[in-house]
Amino acid sequence: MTIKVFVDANLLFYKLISDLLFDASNLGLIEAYWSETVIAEYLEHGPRVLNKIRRSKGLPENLEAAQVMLQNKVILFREHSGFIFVEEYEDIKIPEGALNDKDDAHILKAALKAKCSVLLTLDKDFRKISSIADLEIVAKKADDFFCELFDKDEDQMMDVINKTRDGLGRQKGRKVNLIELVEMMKSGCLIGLSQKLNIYLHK
Amino acid sequence: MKVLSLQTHIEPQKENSAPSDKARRVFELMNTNPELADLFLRVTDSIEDQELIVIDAHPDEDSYLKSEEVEKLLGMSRPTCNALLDGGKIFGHKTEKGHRRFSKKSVFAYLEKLQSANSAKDKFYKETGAGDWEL
Repeated sequence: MTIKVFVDANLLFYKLISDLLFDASNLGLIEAYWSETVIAEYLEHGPRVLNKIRRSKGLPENLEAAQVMLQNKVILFREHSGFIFVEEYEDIKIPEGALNDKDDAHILKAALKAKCSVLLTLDKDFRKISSIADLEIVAKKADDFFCELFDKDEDQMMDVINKTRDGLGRQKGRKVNLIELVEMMKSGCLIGLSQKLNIYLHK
Repeated sequence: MKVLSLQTHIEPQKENSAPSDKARRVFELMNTNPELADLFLRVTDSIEDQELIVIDAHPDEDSYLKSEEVEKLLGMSRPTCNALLDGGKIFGHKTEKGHRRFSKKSVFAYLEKLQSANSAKDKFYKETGAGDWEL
């Protein structure tokens, strides 16, 4: 059975993670959900986050280009990722005190409305909801989630990884091998998955 | 979505038959045709589960592909191909022996959609230089 996951906006700032989610959705490994509010947050906070990343890479800031990039990424995911929009989730009830930040409630409500079993996020506050069994949802980091998919069905996860690798190769104009991908995963917040892939390659 | 196929022969409905005759015919058919009875039960189960059902009364073997053919065509493993069929991204059905058959038309439509997604992603990274922006 396909796993239903809700994707928080903060994951979309990570190229490799968002590529893997895009491909996992198109290959039917996951059923991914998001909402208009998630997109609005991505577009609102995106320019600041992206320019911070550029500064860390020694590149000049460019607010206008950042906005164009963010809008184009949303269009790409809207039209080609197969992500499903969740709507009319405002009336979904969540336990009092489940979240530190009430502004995050829309994410949990939308995920519950879509009956997702996993909430993918970088926000540590959400990890606390894993103790609320009644909600039947757990918040996970993308790395842990991909590792579990790898353990569940290695063949399917390798199809997704190979598809992502092919895409990276086309973008770079040369073939990207899996050893290179292991290194990219390490620097892209996917340390656990890089270890799994490394073990797979040396079997 | 579940696609069920019916590979049995049903006599054409006689004109002016009363509802009671129809009911009797259905009962007789169920008694004499186990395949039809099985299909009927699968249909009622699917309705209970609120699944979309397509009943193909004349499945044409030429319009379906076997699992190994789909694996080669898509360049994907058997579990992924099965998941695409079971998850409704590609249409098809299971034979009486439990083998999966993939609608050729649906496989090619999926392949086209996948290639279109690849092209859109390539175009996005090329035009925006997103690699410089993201982590």
